[in-house]
Amino acid sequence: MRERNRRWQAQEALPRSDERAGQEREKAAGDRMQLEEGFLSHVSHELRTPLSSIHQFTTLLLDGLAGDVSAEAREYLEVVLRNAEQLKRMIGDLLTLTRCGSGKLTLDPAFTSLGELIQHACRSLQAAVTAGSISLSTDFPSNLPAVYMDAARIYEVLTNLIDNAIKHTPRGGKVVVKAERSKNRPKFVRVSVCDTGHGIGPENAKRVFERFYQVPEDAASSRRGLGLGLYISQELIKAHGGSLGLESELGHGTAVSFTLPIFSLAPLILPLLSAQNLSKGSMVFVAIKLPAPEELSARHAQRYSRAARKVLERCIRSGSDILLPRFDANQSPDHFYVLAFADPGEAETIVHRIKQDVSRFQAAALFGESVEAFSTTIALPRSRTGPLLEIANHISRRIEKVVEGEGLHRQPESEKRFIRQP
Amino acid sequence: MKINKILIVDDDRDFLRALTLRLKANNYQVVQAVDAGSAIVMTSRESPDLIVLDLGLPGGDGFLIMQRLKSAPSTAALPVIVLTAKDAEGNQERAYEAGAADFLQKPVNNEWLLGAIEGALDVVQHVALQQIAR
Repeated sequence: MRERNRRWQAQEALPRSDERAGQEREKAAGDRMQLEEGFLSHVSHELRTPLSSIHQFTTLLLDGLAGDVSAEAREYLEVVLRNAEQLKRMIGDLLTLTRCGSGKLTLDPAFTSLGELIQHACRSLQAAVTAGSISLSTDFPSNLPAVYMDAARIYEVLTNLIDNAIKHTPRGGKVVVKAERSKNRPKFVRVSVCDTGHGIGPENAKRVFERFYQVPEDAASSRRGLGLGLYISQELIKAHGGSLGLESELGHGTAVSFTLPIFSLAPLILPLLSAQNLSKGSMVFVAIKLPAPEELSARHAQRYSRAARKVLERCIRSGSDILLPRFDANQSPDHFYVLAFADPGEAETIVHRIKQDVSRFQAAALFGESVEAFSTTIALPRSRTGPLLEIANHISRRIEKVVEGEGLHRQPESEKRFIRQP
Repeated sequence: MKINKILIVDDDRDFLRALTLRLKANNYQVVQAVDAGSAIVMTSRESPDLIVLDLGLPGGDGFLIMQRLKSAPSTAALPVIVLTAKDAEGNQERAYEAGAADFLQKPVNNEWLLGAIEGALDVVQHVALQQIAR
């Protein structure tokens, strides 16, 4: 009997021990990744430190702060600088690679003008363009839709792809960065980096997205890199909900294209469409102005906006309020929008609560004395049985109309609509 | 016109030297500190207008220095720009929470660094003017 019990226990214990072994394996893998990330983070710090001095002293010499520099010396210093920049990118790539593997890649998305980012990326690679006697140009319409993206990450993708294109384009060749609304996927923008370089064959084209893979002919080149650029770019684009692909023909050049979703408020609203929130029948849209110093430089305006947003994040109720991201290029840095699921009668209470909370949390020196707010009610569609995404799209369109119609952040007269805090 | 004084806190003496040259060439007066202890001493002795602060330092990290500065009324409003070789992930958010005016990563683009310094000094000036107006 005891023997039978033991066997029975052993049979019972088997799946449990399997489960435990699985958990232990998972934990060990997690620990290994953490160790790997910690190690890479440490190594990258140790590499960036001397690189930083190389970079700083080289720019000092180039700027003539240590005396005149001959044309020949300038040329050599530019080579040093270009290589230092490349090393910096490679260190960043290694860290991003570890994060992709451990699922710790975090995005900080915001409403962003893709056109400006493309121009900025092209300007940053001007030295490589000049050195290679290549023409680098852009081609996109002025009304290119805005994208909800992590600008730093997409900048990384753009510089990776453009730098790659420059590397593989012979003297006198062309690199063009194009962007347009995707023809096949209207809710996406498509960006292509096209070059007139050597191109790559179909066998290699399949493998270039693998980690550390380098086209064999490239391995002989003096600027080989780590073979991570395309892999990382693809991971970053995927994390944004887009896709990245490559078309190439030997001897005719290469086009690497990626898509990014056009900015929409709907995906942000969707998670809040619970039965309880929908039963309110309406939402209160609150426009808030947190007065900022007027002489803000563009760079400082961004920092101010970030600090103010942090204060507001603490003033909203999770689960029923949303602090909307900046979604209009004209939105001034001291204007913010909150959307709250509430009865129309609650509008004043909500505005009052936000003002009270802002006063409580605000950093004394950051904002002026008064907080201004304007609220309006947005009715939810009567039929709330359809797909939630349709309801989210409806709300999103209404918000855009309110912002557009009220001219909340553009026309000075709209300022009169703000209720000044006593 | 007032010449602003900047305290650079960094334990990498080569970088300290290069950055000092860069800032002096842009009409700033520069004082230096190479560890956490001397950073605190130099802040009270030299009364800088702004601090460029590294995070990894002997004798206590940059976060500890910011904590000390922000908790003392005389230095609470002193702008601090974090300039570090450490990874932005995690550190950037922590630096802003500790009250940093900006977070920049080494090797830094000089235009960005000078822009950040100028911007942070602008805010201090604006706040001072607002207080006078009140």
